[in-house]
Amino acid sequence: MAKPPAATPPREPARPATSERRGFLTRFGAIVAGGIAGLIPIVSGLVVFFDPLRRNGQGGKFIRVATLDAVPDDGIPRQFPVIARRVDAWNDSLEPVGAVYLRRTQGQEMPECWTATCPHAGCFVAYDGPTNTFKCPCHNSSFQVDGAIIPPSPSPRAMDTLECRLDSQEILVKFENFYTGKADKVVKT
Amino acid sequence: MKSLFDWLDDRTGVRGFLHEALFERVPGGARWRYVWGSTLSFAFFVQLVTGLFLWMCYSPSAQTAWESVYYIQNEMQGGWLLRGIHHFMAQAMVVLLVLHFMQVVIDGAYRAPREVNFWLGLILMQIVLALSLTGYLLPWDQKGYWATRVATNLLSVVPLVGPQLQQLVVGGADYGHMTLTRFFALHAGVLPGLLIGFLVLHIALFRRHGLCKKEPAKGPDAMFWPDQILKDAVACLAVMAVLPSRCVCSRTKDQSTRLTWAPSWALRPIRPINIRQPDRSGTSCFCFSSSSCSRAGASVANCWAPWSFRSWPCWRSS
Repeated sequence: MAKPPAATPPREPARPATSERRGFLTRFGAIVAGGIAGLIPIVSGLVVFFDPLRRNGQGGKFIRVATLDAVPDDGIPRQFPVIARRVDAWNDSLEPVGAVYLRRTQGQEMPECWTATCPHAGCFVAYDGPTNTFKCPCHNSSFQVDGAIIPPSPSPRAMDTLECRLDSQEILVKFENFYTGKADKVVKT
Repeated sequence: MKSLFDWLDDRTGVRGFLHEALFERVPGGARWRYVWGSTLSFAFFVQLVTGLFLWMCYSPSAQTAWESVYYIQNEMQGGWLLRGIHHFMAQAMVVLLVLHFMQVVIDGAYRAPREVNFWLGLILMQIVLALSLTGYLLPWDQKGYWATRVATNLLSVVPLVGPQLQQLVVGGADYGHMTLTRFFALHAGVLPGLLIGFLVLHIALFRRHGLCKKEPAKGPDAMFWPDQILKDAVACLAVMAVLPSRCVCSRTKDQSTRLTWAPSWALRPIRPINIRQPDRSGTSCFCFSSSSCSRAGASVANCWAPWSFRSWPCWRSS
């Protein structure tokens, strides 16, 4: 008895390997060429977009803010603007960069100094004479006249003190900005 | 990954949309001569991206425009490259526009049934030239300042409503802050918006009629993806490759401060209007009218092209 021929699977029509490879190369080439062309403008834009991360703050210098006469030793804090050279992107000008409170108690020669910026979210606090406290108009943080926090307060820390020194009869303040909303006083560089 | 794509396709039909976008038939096979429309769209994409990033650093007022552009060019990392790409791609776009236009004319793609798409193309051309004109002013440098001063002063000799028209465009009696803010709004808002709208119509009609086949066919029909896209992508890359070299060359030049006030080369054909000697008898008005009439005439002639060249044997497709 003759053995029936083994069933062979029907052969697929031969696909030329070269055309398949060519199709792959075409797709690959299109994606690479298009990708590079499209990425060039996007990447160069992103490089410029991230430029601000290279910029540093301009604080940390001693700046004249007042004469000693302007801060009598009566325990009442007085506000003074801090005028300094500031490079703001394409503007280079002498302008107010912040404000400070200076206060002297009786017999004290060197004044205490605080920045007027609230440590909670950065608004300017105002001195309120009748209650003898600092009050922030934005979220009602309030501080004692010596800068201590009055609980309950949204502010995570007391008012930020600044270093100051006397040069003959003038008061110089080392003006700095600090990160707001943090329990620790961290200077912005 | 596949199941995520299936889910997205089920909810949005994205697969069908992609299929429709990519698997357009290219009769007679992919060709280099079909790349110009794609390179133009690519150029517009590059202008959108670079323009958006430039926008983040630009300040449109007479006191800050030049300063902010100087800052981008000389102070920001990579700013010279970003601005260079935007600047030179704007010029490349006009060149590509001419090439695309020539291809349409030579292949007879303006004829029935594609007349409307030809008109849309003419509108797009005007929008690109308007983008070029408004963008030229924005650095507020000597070139842009004087070229646009001339262009807006020319508006005042338009018959009847000239002075009012000029005042509206300039944004007041004098050239200044308001001119810049208006030109910036046109350049970054109105004109790109119009361009996108007309481009969508242009491409939709192009897909409706299909490619204008160039005879004789080079081979069997191919698909837009990947055959034609490969050629398009290589052409886009070639356009892109020319730009950085130009940016590097231009970086060494003293940017923005030289006292030259030639109009942008793309707008120089209308320059004869400016150079003619005006006199007191209204000749300047006449010159303007005649020049604008001839320009308008040329535009009308362009619009008429689908019919007027219908029977030119050398351009007739068999």
